[in-house]
Amino acid sequence: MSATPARDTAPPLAVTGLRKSFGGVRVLHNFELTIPARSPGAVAVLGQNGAGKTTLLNLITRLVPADAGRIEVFGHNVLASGARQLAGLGVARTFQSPRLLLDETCLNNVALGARSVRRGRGSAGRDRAGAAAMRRAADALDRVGLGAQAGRVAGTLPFGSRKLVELARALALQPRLLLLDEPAAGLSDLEEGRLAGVLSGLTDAGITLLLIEHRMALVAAVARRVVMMDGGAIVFDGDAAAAIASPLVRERYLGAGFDQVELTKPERSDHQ
Amino acid sequence: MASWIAGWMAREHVRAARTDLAMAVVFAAVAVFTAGHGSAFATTTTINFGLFTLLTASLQVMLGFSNQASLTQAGIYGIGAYVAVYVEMKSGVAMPVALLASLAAGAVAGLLLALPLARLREHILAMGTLAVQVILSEAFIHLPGLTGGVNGEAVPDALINSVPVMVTICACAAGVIMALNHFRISRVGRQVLAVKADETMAASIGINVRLLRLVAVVVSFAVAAGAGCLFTETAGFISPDDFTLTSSLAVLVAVVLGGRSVTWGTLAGAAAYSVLNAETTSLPGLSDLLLGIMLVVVLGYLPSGLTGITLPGRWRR
Repeated sequence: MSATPARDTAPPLAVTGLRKSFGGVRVLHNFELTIPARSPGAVAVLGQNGAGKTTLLNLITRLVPADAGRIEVFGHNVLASGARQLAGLGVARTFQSPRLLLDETCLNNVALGARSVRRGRGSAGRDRAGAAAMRRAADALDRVGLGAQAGRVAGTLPFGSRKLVELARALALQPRLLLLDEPAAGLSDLEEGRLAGVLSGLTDAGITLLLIEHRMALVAAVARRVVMMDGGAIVFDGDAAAAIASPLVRERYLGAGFDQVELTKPERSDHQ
Repeated sequence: MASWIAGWMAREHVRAARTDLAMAVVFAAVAVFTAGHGSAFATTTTINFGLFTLLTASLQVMLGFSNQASLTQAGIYGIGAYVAVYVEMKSGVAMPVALLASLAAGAVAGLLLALPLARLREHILAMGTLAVQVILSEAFIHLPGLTGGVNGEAVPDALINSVPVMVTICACAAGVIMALNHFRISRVGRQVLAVKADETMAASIGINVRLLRLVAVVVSFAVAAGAGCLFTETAGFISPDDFTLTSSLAVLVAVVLGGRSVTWGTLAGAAAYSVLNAETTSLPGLSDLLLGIMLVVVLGYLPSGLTGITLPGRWRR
Protein backbone atom coordinates (compact mmCIF):
# COMPACT_ATOMS: atom_id res chain seq x y z
CA MET A 1 0.00 0.00 0.00
CA SER A 2 1.41 3.35 -1.00
CA ALA A 3 0.53 5.52 1.95
CA THR A 4 2.23 8.85 2.41
CA PRO A 5 4.69 9.13 5.32
CA ALA A 6 2.35 11.54 7.10
CA ARG A 7 -0.36 8.91 7.02
CA ASP A 8 2.00 6.30 8.39
CA THR A 9 2.88 8.32 11.44
CA ALA A 10 -0.61 9.68 12.07
CA PRO A 11 -2.39 7.76 14.83
CA PRO A 12 -5.15 5.46 13.56
CA LEU A 13 -7.48 7.00 16.12
CA ALA A 14 -7.27 10.12 18.26
CA VAL A 15 -10.39 11.13 20.19
CA THR A 16 -10.21 14.27 22.31
CA GLY A 17 -12.80 16.09 24.41
CA LEU A 18 -15.65 14.09 22.90
CA ARG A 19 -19.06 14.82 24.34
CA LYS A 20 -22.43 13.27 23.61
CA SER A 21 -25.77 13.42 25.36
CA PHE A 22 -29.08 11.91 24.36
CA GLY A 23 -31.63 14.30 25.81
CA GLY A 24 -30.71 14.59 29.47
CA VAL A 25 -28.60 11.43 29.48
CA ARG A 26 -24.90 12.21 29.35
CA VAL A 27 -23.26 9.30 27.53
CA LEU A 28 -19.76 10.58 26.85
CA HIS A 29 -18.16 13.40 28.76
CA ASN A 30 -14.79 14.76 27.63
CA PHE A 31 -13.90 11.33 26.37
CA GLU A 32 -10.25 10.79 25.36
CA LEU A 33 -8.75 7.80 23.58
CA THR A 34 -5.70 7.64 21.35
CA ILE A 35 -4.39 4.61 19.54
CA PRO A 36 -0.83 5.54 18.56
CA ALA A 37 0.63 4.67 15.19
CA ARG A 38 2.88 1.62 14.88
CA SER A 39 1.36 -0.07 17.90
CA PRO A 40 -0.03 -3.23 16.34
CA GLY A 41 -2.62 -5.23 18.16
CA ALA A 42 -6.18 -4.84 19.22
CA VAL A 43 -7.62 -2.38 21.70
CA ALA A 44 -10.56 -3.84 23.60
CA VAL A 45 -13.21 -1.61 25.15
CA LEU A 46 -14.94 -3.02 28.22
CA GLY A 47 -17.83 -1.58 30.12
CA GLN A 48 -21.29 -2.30 31.40
CA ASN A 49 -24.33 -1.97 29.21
CA GLY A 50 -25.03 1.72 28.79
CA ALA A 51 -21.42 2.73 29.39
CA GLY A 52 -21.36 4.37 25.95
CA LYS A 53 -19.30 1.79 24.02
CA THR A 54 -21.54 1.49 20.99
CA THR A 55 -22.18 5.22 21.04
CA LEU A 56 -18.42 5.72 20.80
CA LEU A 57 -18.33 3.53 17.68
CA ASN A 58 -21.35 5.32 16.22
CA LEU A 59 -19.69 8.67 16.84
CA ILE A 60 -16.42 7.58 15.21
CA THR A 61 -18.29 6.24 12.18
CA ARG A 62 -20.48 9.37 12.03
CA LEU A 63 -23.77 7.54 12.43
CA VAL A 64 -24.70 9.89 15.24
CA PRO A 65 -23.53 13.51 15.48
CA ALA A 66 -21.16 14.53 18.27
CA ASP A 67 -22.03 17.40 20.61
CA ALA A 68 -18.43 18.56 20.96
CA GLY A 69 -14.89 17.30 20.64
CA ARG A 70 -12.59 16.04 17.97
CA ILE A 71 -12.14 12.65 16.32
CA GLU A 72 -9.15 12.09 14.05
CA VAL A 73 -8.61 8.98 11.99
CA PHE A 74 -5.16 8.72 10.42
CA GLY A 75 -4.86 12.47 10.89
CA HIS A 76 -8.20 13.31 9.23
CA ASN A 77 -10.83 15.13 11.21
CA VAL A 78 -13.82 12.84 10.66
CA LEU A 79 -16.31 15.20 12.26
CA ALA A 80 -15.87 17.35 9.17
CA SER A 81 -16.97 14.57 6.83
CA GLY A 82 -19.87 12.17 6.42
CA ALA A 83 -20.26 8.50 7.27
CA ARG A 84 -19.41 7.24 3.83
CA GLN A 85 -16.07 9.08 3.53
CA LEU A 86 -14.74 6.90 6.33
CA ALA A 87 -14.54 3.84 4.12
CA GLY A 88 -12.23 5.83 1.87
CA LEU A 89 -10.01 6.64 4.86
CA GLY A 90 -9.65 2.93 5.56
CA VAL A 91 -12.19 2.59 8.35
CA ALA A 92 -14.64 -0.31 8.45
CA ARG A 93 -16.99 -1.50 11.15
CA THR A 94 -19.36 -4.28 12.07
CA PHE A 95 -22.58 -4.02 14.03
CA GLN A 96 -23.59 -5.80 17.19
CA SER A 97 -26.52 -7.29 15.33
CA PRO A 98 -25.37 -8.05 11.78
CA ARG A 99 -26.82 -5.88 9.04
CA LEU A 100 -26.90 -7.96 5.88
CA LEU A 101 -29.09 -8.17 2.81
CA LEU A 102 -30.84 -11.34 3.89
CA ASP A 103 -32.13 -12.41 0.49
CA GLU A 104 -28.78 -11.97 -1.24
CA THR A 105 -25.98 -14.51 -1.29
CA CYS A 106 -23.06 -14.22 1.10
CA LEU A 107 -20.76 -13.42 -1.80
CA ASN A 108 -22.98 -10.58 -3.02
CA ASN A 109 -23.20 -9.18 0.49
CA VAL A 110 -19.44 -9.13 0.83
CA ALA A 111 -18.97 -7.88 -2.72
CA LEU A 112 -21.09 -4.86 -1.80
CA GLY A 113 -18.24 -3.80 0.46
CA ALA A 114 -15.52 -4.80 -1.97
CA ARG A 115 -17.12 -2.93 -4.83
CA SER A 116 -17.65 0.32 -3.02
CA VAL A 117 -13.91 0.88 -2.61
CA ARG A 118 -11.88 1.36 -5.73
CA ARG A 119 -8.35 0.37 -5.09
CA GLY A 120 -5.68 -0.29 -7.68
CA ARG A 121 -8.05 0.29 -10.56
CA GLY A 122 -5.81 2.23 -12.90
CA SER A 123 -6.22 1.37 -16.57
CA ALA A 124 -7.59 -2.09 -15.89
CA GLY A 125 -11.09 -0.99 -16.86
CA ARG A 126 -14.45 -1.58 -15.29
CA ASP A 127 -14.90 -5.29 -15.85
CA ARG A 128 -11.48 -6.13 -14.49
CA ALA A 129 -12.19 -3.93 -11.48
CA GLY A 130 -15.49 -5.73 -10.97
CA ALA A 131 -13.85 -9.14 -11.20
CA ALA A 132 -11.12 -7.99 -8.80
CA ALA A 133 -13.78 -6.89 -6.34
CA MET A 134 -15.49 -10.27 -6.56
CA ARG A 135 -12.16 -12.00 -5.97
CA ARG A 136 -11.52 -9.75 -2.97
CA ALA A 137 -14.98 -10.66 -1.67
CA ALA A 138 -14.32 -14.38 -2.10
CA ASP A 139 -10.95 -14.03 -0.37
CA ALA A 140 -12.56 -12.20 2.55
CA LEU A 141 -15.12 -15.00 2.94
CA ASP A 142 -12.30 -17.55 2.87
CA ARG A 143 -10.53 -15.59 5.55
CA VAL A 144 -13.43 -15.93 7.99
CA GLY A 145 -13.81 -19.60 7.07
CA LEU A 146 -17.04 -19.25 5.07
CA GLY A 147 -15.62 -19.70 1.56
CA ALA A 148 -17.78 -22.79 1.06
CA GLN A 149 -20.94 -20.82 1.89
CA ALA A 150 -20.35 -18.09 -0.71
CA GLY A 151 -23.36 -19.03 -2.81
CA ARG A 152 -25.74 -19.43 0.12
CA VAL A 153 -28.44 -16.85 0.77
CA ALA A 154 -27.43 -14.90 3.87
CA GLY A 155 -30.87 -15.22 5.48
CA THR A 156 -30.50 -19.01 5.65
CA LEU A 157 -27.32 -18.84 7.72
CA PRO A 158 -27.29 -19.11 11.51
CA PHE A 159 -26.70 -15.93 13.50
CA GLY A 160 -23.03 -16.60 14.20
CA SER A 161 -22.23 -17.14 10.54
CA ARG A 162 -24.05 -13.94 9.61
CA LYS A 163 -21.75 -12.07 11.96
CA LEU A 164 -18.77 -13.61 10.23
CA VAL A 165 -20.19 -12.64 6.82
CA GLU A 166 -20.47 -9.09 8.09
CA LEU A 167 -16.87 -9.25 9.26
CA ALA A 168 -15.90 -10.46 5.79
CA ARG A 169 -17.75 -7.52 4.25
CA ALA A 170 -15.78 -5.15 6.45
CA LEU A 171 -12.54 -6.90 5.50
CA ALA A 172 -13.39 -6.59 1.81
CA LEU A 173 -13.19 -2.82 2.30
CA GLN A 174 -9.49 -3.41 3.04
CA PRO A 175 -9.54 -1.36 6.22
CA ARG A 176 -6.59 -0.10 8.21
CA LEU A 177 -8.78 0.56 11.24
CA LEU A 178 -11.48 -1.96 11.97
CA LEU A 179 -14.16 -1.27 14.59
CA LEU A 180 -15.95 -4.33 15.91
CA ASP A 181 -19.08 -4.13 18.05
CA GLU A 182 -19.26 -7.34 20.12
CA PRO A 183 -18.08 -9.66 17.35
CA ALA A 184 -18.29 -12.76 19.57
CA ALA A 185 -21.80 -12.16 20.95
CA GLY A 186 -24.04 -14.98 19.77
CA LEU A 187 -21.18 -17.07 18.39
CA SER A 188 -20.67 -20.69 19.35
CA ASP A 189 -17.43 -21.62 21.12
CA LEU A 190 -16.16 -23.10 17.86
CA GLU A 191 -16.94 -19.91 15.95
CA GLU A 192 -15.44 -17.80 18.72
CA GLY A 193 -12.20 -19.77 18.51
CA ARG A 194 -12.11 -19.24 14.77
CA LEU A 195 -12.88 -15.53 15.23
CA ALA A 196 -9.95 -15.20 17.63
CA GLY A 197 -7.69 -16.71 14.96
CA VAL A 198 -9.06 -14.36 12.28
CA LEU A 199 -8.61 -11.28 14.48
CA SER A 200 -5.06 -12.26 15.46
CA GLY A 201 -4.26 -12.67 11.76
CA LEU A 202 -5.59 -9.15 11.10
CA THR A 203 -3.45 -7.55 13.80
CA ASP A 204 -0.45 -9.48 12.47
CA ALA A 205 -1.20 -7.94 9.07
CA GLY A 206 -0.93 -4.48 10.62
CA ILE A 207 -4.63 -3.64 10.87
CA THR A 208 -5.63 -1.71 13.97
CA LEU A 209 -8.62 -3.19 15.77
CA LEU A 210 -10.92 -1.42 18.18
CA LEU A 211 -13.08 -4.06 19.73
CA ILE A 212 -16.06 -3.86 22.03
CA GLU A 213 -16.39 -7.23 23.67
CA HIS A 214 -17.79 -8.88 26.78
CA ARG A 215 -16.21 -12.31 26.21
CA MET A 216 -13.04 -12.02 28.26
CA ALA A 217 -11.56 -15.11 26.63
CA LEU A 218 -11.56 -13.37 23.26
CA VAL A 219 -10.29 -10.14 24.79
CA ALA A 220 -7.42 -11.97 26.46
CA ALA A 221 -6.63 -13.81 23.23
CA VAL A 222 -6.43 -10.83 20.87
CA ALA A 223 -6.21 -7.54 22.80
CA ARG A 224 -2.89 -5.97 23.67
CA ARG A 225 -4.54 -3.10 25.41
CA VAL A 226 -7.77 -2.99 27.38
CA VAL A 227 -9.67 0.13 28.32
CA MET A 228 -12.73 0.20 30.51
CA MET A 229 -15.47 2.81 30.16
CA ASP A 230 -17.62 3.88 33.04
CA GLY A 231 -19.73 6.99 33.40
CA GLY A 232 -18.79 8.26 29.95
CA ALA A 233 -15.03 8.22 30.44
CA ILE A 234 -12.16 5.76 30.56
CA VAL A 235 -11.49 4.52 34.08
CA PHE A 236 -8.92 1.83 33.30
CA ASP A 237 -6.25 1.59 30.61
CA GLY A 238 -3.73 -1.25 30.58
CA ASP A 239 -3.01 -4.69 29.16
CA ALA A 240 -5.38 -7.63 29.39
CA ALA A 241 -3.68 -9.31 32.33
CA ALA A 242 -3.63 -6.05 34.27
CA ALA A 243 -7.31 -5.54 33.52
CA ILE A 244 -8.24 -8.93 34.90
CA ALA A 245 -6.10 -8.31 37.96
CA SER A 246 -7.36 -4.77 38.50
CA PRO A 247 -9.59 -4.38 41.57
CA LEU A 248 -11.42 -1.56 39.82
CA VAL A 249 -12.27 -3.64 36.74
CA ARG A 250 -13.22 -6.59 38.93
CA GLU A 251 -15.47 -4.46 41.08
CA ARG A 252 -17.23 -2.51 38.35
CA TYR A 253 -17.29 -4.99 35.48
CA LEU A 254 -16.03 -8.53 35.86
CA GLY A 255 -17.55 -9.16 39.28
CA ALA A 256 -15.71 -10.43 42.34
CA GLY A 257 -16.34 -14.07 41.40
CA PHE A 258 -14.61 -13.84 38.02
CA ASP A 259 -12.39 -16.83 37.51
CA GLN A 260 -9.31 -17.13 35.32
CA VAL A 261 -10.55 -20.55 34.21
CA GLU A 262 -13.12 -18.85 31.97
CA LEU A 263 -10.30 -17.60 29.81
CA THR A 264 -9.45 -21.07 28.54
CA LYS A 265 -12.82 -21.59 26.88
CA PRO A 266 -11.91 -21.16 23.19
CA GLU A 267 -9.10 -23.72 23.38
CA ARG A 268 -11.51 -26.38 24.63
CA SER A 269 -14.01 -25.72 21.88
CA ASP A 270 -12.98 -28.65 19.68
CA HIS A 271 -13.89 -31.17 22.38
CA GLN A 272 -17.59 -30.38 21.95
CA MET B 1 -11.19 -19.81 -7.84
CA ALA B 2 -11.52 -16.98 -10.33
CA SER B 3 -13.40 -19.16 -12.79
CA TRP B 4 -16.24 -20.02 -10.44
CA ILE B 5 -16.66 -16.34 -9.58
CA ALA B 6 -16.92 -15.55 -13.28
CA GLY B 7 -19.39 -18.42 -13.63
CA TRP B 8 -21.39 -17.08 -10.72
CA MET B 9 -21.61 -13.60 -12.21
CA ALA B 10 -22.38 -15.00 -15.65
CA ARG B 11 -25.24 -17.11 -14.32
CA GLU B 12 -27.03 -14.03 -13.00
CA HIS B 13 -26.67 -12.28 -16.33
CA VAL B 14 -27.83 -15.36 -18.21
CA ARG B 15 -30.91 -15.42 -16.01
CA ALA B 16 -31.52 -11.73 -16.73
CA ALA B 17 -31.08 -12.31 -20.46
CA ARG B 18 -33.62 -15.14 -20.31
CA THR B 19 -36.07 -12.75 -18.64
CA ASP B 20 -35.33 -10.24 -21.42
CA LEU B 21 -36.22 -12.80 -24.02
CA ALA B 22 -39.48 -13.70 -22.28
CA MET B 23 -40.27 -10.00 -21.99
CA ALA B 24 -39.63 -9.45 -25.69
CA VAL B 25 -41.86 -12.42 -26.55
CA VAL B 26 -44.69 -11.09 -24.37
CA PHE B 27 -44.59 -7.63 -25.92
CA ALA B 28 -44.18 -8.99 -29.45
CA ALA B 29 -47.21 -11.26 -28.91
CA VAL B 30 -49.29 -8.37 -27.61
CA ALA B 31 -48.25 -6.14 -30.53
CA VAL B 32 -48.84 -8.84 -33.17
CA PHE B 33 -52.22 -9.75 -31.67
CA THR B 34 -53.28 -6.09 -31.57
CA ALA B 35 -52.13 -5.41 -35.12
CA GLY B 36 -53.89 -8.58 -36.30
CA HIS B 37 -57.08 -7.63 -34.47
CA GLY B 38 -56.99 -4.33 -36.29
CA SER B 39 -59.73 -2.60 -34.26
CA ALA B 40 -59.26 0.90 -32.90
CA PHE B 41 -60.28 -0.35 -29.46
CA ALA B 42 -57.53 -2.98 -29.42
CA THR B 43 -54.87 -0.50 -30.58
CA THR B 44 -55.92 2.12 -28.02
CA THR B 45 -55.95 -0.44 -25.24
CA THR B 46 -52.48 -1.69 -26.14
CA ILE B 47 -51.13 1.85 -26.44
CA ASN B 48 -52.55 2.67 -23.01
CA PHE B 49 -51.07 -0.55 -21.65
CA GLY B 50 -47.62 0.34 -23.07
CA LEU B 51 -47.73 3.88 -21.70
CA PHE B 52 -48.97 2.69 -18.34
CA THR B 53 -46.23 0.06 -18.25
CA LEU B 54 -43.67 2.84 -18.73
CA LEU B 55 -45.22 4.84 -15.88
CA THR B 56 -45.30 1.77 -13.64
CA ALA B 57 -41.67 1.04 -14.50
CA SER B 58 -40.76 4.65 -13.68
CA LEU B 59 -42.27 4.30 -10.21
CA GLN B 60 -40.60 0.91 -9.84
CA VAL B 61 -37.25 2.75 -10.05
CA MET B 62 -38.21 4.98 -7.15
CA LEU B 63 -40.38 2.71 -5.00
CA GLY B 64 -39.14 -0.74 -5.93
CA PHE B 65 -35.42 0.04 -6.05
CA SER B 66 -35.16 2.88 -3.60
CA ASN B 67 -38.23 2.63 -1.34
CA GLN B 68 -39.27 6.17 -2.21
CA ALA B 69 -43.02 6.40 -2.70
CA SER B 70 -44.18 8.93 -5.26
CA LEU B 71 -47.61 10.30 -6.07
CA THR B 72 -46.17 12.67 -8.68
CA GLN B 73 -45.66 10.31 -11.61
CA ALA B 74 -48.68 11.55 -13.58
CA GLY B 75 -47.63 15.17 -13.04
CA ILE B 76 -44.17 14.44 -14.41
CA TYR B 77 -45.79 12.51 -17.28
CA GLY B 78 -47.69 15.74 -17.93
CA ILE B 79 -44.53 17.83 -17.88
CA GLY B 80 -43.03 15.49 -20.46
CA ALA B 81 -46.16 15.73 -22.61
CA TYR B 82 -46.39 19.53 -22.48
CA VAL B 83 -42.69 19.94 -23.17
CA ALA B 84 -42.97 17.64 -26.18
CA VAL B 85 -45.97 19.50 -27.59
CA TYR B 86 -44.34 22.84 -26.91
CA VAL B 87 -41.02 22.11 -28.61
CA GLU B 88 -42.67 20.30 -31.53
CA MET B 89 -45.11 23.15 -32.12
CA LYS B 90 -42.87 26.11 -31.44
CA SER B 91 -39.68 24.90 -32.99
CA GLY B 92 -40.98 22.17 -35.26
CA VAL B 93 -38.30 19.71 -34.21
CA ALA B 94 -38.51 16.02 -35.04
CA MET B 95 -40.07 13.58 -32.59
CA PRO B 96 -36.77 12.06 -31.33
CA VAL B 97 -35.57 15.56 -30.38
CA ALA B 98 -38.84 16.19 -28.56
CA LEU B 99 -38.33 12.89 -26.72
CA LEU B 100 -34.87 14.02 -25.61
CA ALA B 101 -36.33 17.33 -24.47
CA SER B 102 -38.99 15.51 -22.42
CA LEU B 103 -36.43 13.17 -20.86
CA ALA B 104 -34.28 16.17 -19.93
CA ALA B 105 -37.29 18.01 -18.50
CA GLY B 106 -38.13 15.00 -16.34
CA ALA B 107 -34.55 14.71 -15.13
CA VAL B 108 -34.40 18.41 -14.26
CA ALA B 109 -37.73 18.14 -12.42
CA GLY B 110 -36.22 15.19 -10.52
CA LEU B 111 -33.16 17.21 -9.57
CA LEU B 112 -35.26 20.18 -8.41
CA LEU B 113 -37.72 18.09 -6.41
CA ALA B 114 -35.20 15.65 -4.93
CA LEU B 115 -33.56 18.48 -2.99
CA PRO B 116 -36.58 19.48 -0.87
CA LEU B 117 -37.74 15.84 -0.64
CA ALA B 118 -34.32 14.39 0.27
CA ARG B 119 -34.94 14.26 4.01
CA LEU B 120 -38.40 12.73 3.74
CA ARG B 121 -39.00 9.02 4.11
CA GLU B 122 -41.89 6.56 3.78
CA HIS B 123 -45.39 8.03 4.07
CA ILE B 124 -44.10 11.54 4.76
CA LEU B 125 -42.37 11.37 1.38
CA ALA B 126 -45.63 10.16 -0.17
CA MET B 127 -47.36 13.22 1.32
CA GLY B 128 -44.66 15.49 -0.06
CA THR B 129 -44.95 14.07 -3.56
CA LEU B 130 -48.74 14.26 -3.31
CA ALA B 131 -48.35 17.99 -2.66
CA VAL B 132 -46.12 18.28 -5.73
CA GLN B 133 -48.76 16.49 -7.82
CA VAL B 134 -51.46 18.88 -6.62
CA ILE B 135 -49.24 21.87 -7.43
CA LEU B 136 -48.52 20.50 -10.92
CA SER B 137 -52.22 19.82 -11.57
CA GLU B 138 -53.03 23.42 -10.63
CA ALA B 139 -50.13 24.73 -12.73
CA PHE B 140 -51.36 22.84 -15.81
CA ILE B 141 -54.76 24.52 -15.40
CA HIS B 142 -53.60 28.00 -14.48
CA LEU B 143 -50.71 28.50 -16.88
CA PRO B 144 -52.72 28.70 -20.11
CA GLY B 145 -49.84 30.41 -21.92
CA LEU B 146 -47.80 27.22 -21.65
CA THR B 147 -50.42 24.50 -21.33
CA GLY B 148 -53.55 25.81 -22.93
CA GLY B 149 -55.26 25.80 -19.53
CA VAL B 150 -58.33 23.63 -18.92
CA ASN B 151 -58.97 23.39 -22.65
CA GLY B 152 -55.64 21.71 -23.15
CA GLU B 153 -53.37 21.78 -26.13
CA ALA B 154 -54.09 20.29 -29.52
CA VAL B 155 -51.33 18.09 -30.88
CA PRO B 156 -50.63 18.63 -34.54
CA ASP B 157 -49.72 15.57 -36.60
CA ALA B 158 -50.69 13.10 -33.87
CA LEU B 159 -51.08 9.55 -35.13
CA ILE B 160 -54.18 8.36 -33.32
CA ASN B 161 -54.55 4.56 -33.13
CA SER B 162 -51.54 4.08 -35.33
CA VAL B 163 -50.03 0.60 -35.35
CA PRO B 164 -46.41 1.80 -35.83
CA VAL B 165 -46.76 4.09 -32.81
CA MET B 166 -48.27 1.21 -30.83
CA VAL B 167 -45.28 -0.96 -31.76
CA THR B 168 -42.83 1.83 -30.85
CA ILE B 169 -44.44 2.27 -27.43
CA CYS B 170 -44.39 -1.48 -26.77
CA ALA B 171 -40.71 -1.58 -27.78
CA CYS B 172 -39.92 1.31 -25.43
CA ALA B 173 -41.79 -0.36 -22.56
CA ALA B 174 -39.98 -3.65 -23.14
CA GLY B 175 -36.64 -1.84 -23.42
CA VAL B 176 -37.12 0.07 -20.16
CA ILE B 177 -38.10 -3.06 -18.24
CA MET B 178 -35.09 -4.90 -19.66
CA ALA B 179 -32.84 -2.04 -18.63
CA LEU B 180 -34.22 -2.19 -15.07
CA ASN B 181 -33.73 -5.93 -15.06
CA HIS B 182 -30.02 -5.53 -15.82
CA PHE B 183 -29.58 -2.47 -13.65
CA ARG B 184 -30.70 -4.54 -10.66
CA ILE B 185 -27.68 -6.83 -10.92
CA SER B 186 -25.19 -4.12 -11.84
CA ARG B 187 -22.72 -2.62 -9.38
CA VAL B 188 -24.71 0.58 -8.92
CA GLY B 189 -28.00 -1.33 -8.90
CA ARG B 190 -26.84 -3.47 -6.00
CA GLN B 191 -25.75 -0.37 -4.14
CA VAL B 192 -29.17 1.22 -4.71
CA LEU B 193 -30.84 -1.92 -3.32
CA ALA B 194 -28.47 -1.90 -0.35
CA VAL B 195 -29.51 1.69 0.38
CA LYS B 196 -33.14 0.59 0.19
CA ALA B 197 -32.52 -2.27 2.62
CA ASP B 198 -30.42 -0.43 5.20
CA GLU B 199 -29.16 3.12 4.81
CA THR B 200 -26.97 2.94 7.91
CA MET B 201 -25.23 -0.19 6.71
CA ALA B 202 -24.83 1.24 3.22
CA ALA B 203 -23.21 4.41 4.52
CA SER B 204 -20.90 2.39 6.76
CA ILE B 205 -19.42 0.58 3.76
CA GLY B 206 -18.84 3.77 1.82
CA ILE B 207 -21.97 3.90 -0.35
CA ASN B 208 -23.23 7.39 -1.19
CA VAL B 209 -26.78 7.14 0.13
CA ARG B 210 -27.92 10.64 -0.82
CA LEU B 211 -26.57 10.44 -4.36
CA LEU B 212 -28.16 7.07 -5.08
CA ARG B 213 -31.54 8.19 -3.75
CA LEU B 214 -31.26 11.26 -5.98
CA VAL B 215 -30.32 9.15 -9.01
CA ALA B 216 -33.42 6.98 -8.46
CA VAL B 217 -35.66 10.07 -8.50
CA VAL B 218 -33.97 11.57 -11.56
CA VAL B 219 -34.14 8.35 -13.59
CA SER B 220 -37.72 7.71 -12.50
CA PHE B 221 -38.90 11.17 -13.51
CA ALA B 222 -37.00 11.07 -16.80
CA VAL B 223 -38.76 7.79 -17.74
CA ALA B 224 -42.17 9.20 -16.73
CA ALA B 225 -41.60 12.37 -18.76
CA GLY B 226 -40.40 10.33 -21.73
CA ALA B 227 -43.63 8.34 -21.53
CA GLY B 228 -45.46 11.69 -21.59
CA CYS B 229 -43.76 12.55 -24.89
CA LEU B 230 -44.81 9.19 -26.40
CA PHE B 231 -48.35 9.87 -25.18
CA THR B 232 -48.55 13.09 -27.22
CA GLU B 233 -47.69 11.13 -30.36
CA THR B 234 -50.93 9.16 -30.03
CA ALA B 235 -53.23 11.80 -28.56
CA GLY B 236 -55.08 14.35 -30.62
CA PHE B 237 -54.95 16.68 -27.68
CA ILE B 238 -53.72 16.76 -24.11
CA SER B 239 -55.29 18.46 -21.10
CA PRO B 240 -54.85 18.61 -17.32
CA ASP B 241 -57.41 15.78 -17.03
CA ASP B 242 -54.77 13.38 -18.36
CA PHE B 243 -52.32 14.13 -15.56
CA THR B 244 -54.33 14.05 -12.35
CA LEU B 245 -53.69 12.78 -8.85
CA THR B 246 -55.99 9.85 -9.65
CA SER B 247 -53.61 8.79 -12.42
CA SER B 248 -50.67 9.02 -10.01
CA LEU B 249 -52.60 6.87 -7.55
CA ALA B 250 -53.29 4.37 -10.33
CA VAL B 251 -49.55 4.05 -10.97
CA LEU B 252 -48.91 3.47 -7.28
CA VAL B 253 -51.66 0.84 -7.17
CA ALA B 254 -50.15 -0.90 -10.20
CA VAL B 255 -46.73 -1.13 -8.53
CA VAL B 256 -48.19 -2.36 -5.24
CA LEU B 257 -50.51 -4.75 -7.08
CA GLY B 258 -47.71 -6.12 -9.23
CA GLY B 259 -45.54 -6.85 -6.24
CA ARG B 260 -41.86 -7.16 -5.66
CA SER B 261 -40.79 -8.69 -8.97
CA VAL B 262 -39.26 -5.83 -10.95
CA THR B 263 -40.02 -7.27 -14.36
CA TRP B 264 -43.12 -9.40 -13.96
CA GLY B 265 -44.58 -7.26 -11.20
CA THR B 266 -44.41 -4.17 -13.39
CA LEU B 267 -46.06 -6.03 -16.25
CA ALA B 268 -48.71 -7.71 -14.10
CA GLY B 269 -49.66 -4.47 -12.34
CA ALA B 270 -49.80 -2.45 -15.54
CA ALA B 271 -51.76 -5.16 -17.37
CA ALA B 272 -54.28 -5.58 -14.56
CA TYR B 273 -54.94 -1.86 -14.40
CA SER B 274 -55.09 -1.43 -18.19
CA VAL B 275 -57.62 -4.23 -18.58
CA LEU B 276 -59.70 -2.81 -15.74
CA ASN B 277 -59.58 0.64 -17.32
CA ALA B 278 -60.50 -0.60 -20.79
CA GLU B 279 -63.42 -2.66 -19.48
CA THR B 280 -64.93 0.21 -17.49
CA THR B 281 -64.66 3.13 -19.95
CA SER B 282 -68.44 3.25 -20.27
CA LEU B 283 -68.82 3.90 -16.53
CA PRO B 284 -66.37 6.71 -15.70
CA GLY B 285 -66.53 6.51 -11.90
CA LEU B 286 -66.25 2.74 -11.75
CA SER B 287 -62.52 2.42 -12.43
CA ASP B 288 -61.71 4.88 -9.62
CA LEU B 289 -63.91 2.89 -7.26
CA LEU B 290 -62.33 -0.41 -8.27
CA LEU B 291 -58.89 1.21 -7.95
CA GLY B 292 -59.61 2.09 -4.34
CA ILE B 293 -60.98 -1.37 -3.60
CA MET B 294 -57.93 -2.97 -5.22
CA LEU B 295 -55.54 -0.89 -3.13
CA VAL B 296 -57.31 -1.88 0.10
CA VAL B 297 -57.41 -5.56 -0.88
CA VAL B 298 -53.77 -5.65 -1.95
CA LEU B 299 -52.45 -3.82 1.09
CA GLY B 300 -54.63 -5.85 3.44
CA TYR B 301 -54.46 -9.33 1.99
CA LEU B 302 -51.68 -9.48 -0.63
CA PRO B 303 -48.86 -7.35 0.79
CA SER B 304 -46.37 -8.88 -1.64
CA GLY B 305 -48.62 -8.32 -4.65
CA LEU B 306 -49.66 -10.51 -7.57
CA THR B 307 -46.15 -11.83 -8.22
CA GLY B 308 -45.92 -12.56 -4.52
CA ILE B 309 -48.70 -15.16 -4.69
CA THR B 310 -47.91 -16.92 -7.91
CA LEU B 311 -44.15 -16.88 -7.56
CA PRO B 312 -43.32 -17.52 -3.93
CA GLY B 313 -39.77 -17.41 -2.63
CA ARG B 314 -37.04 -15.81 -4.65
CA TRP B 315 -38.12 -16.71 -8.15
CA ARG B 316 -36.58 -14.05 -10.39
CA ARG B 317 -37.41 -11.40 -7.88
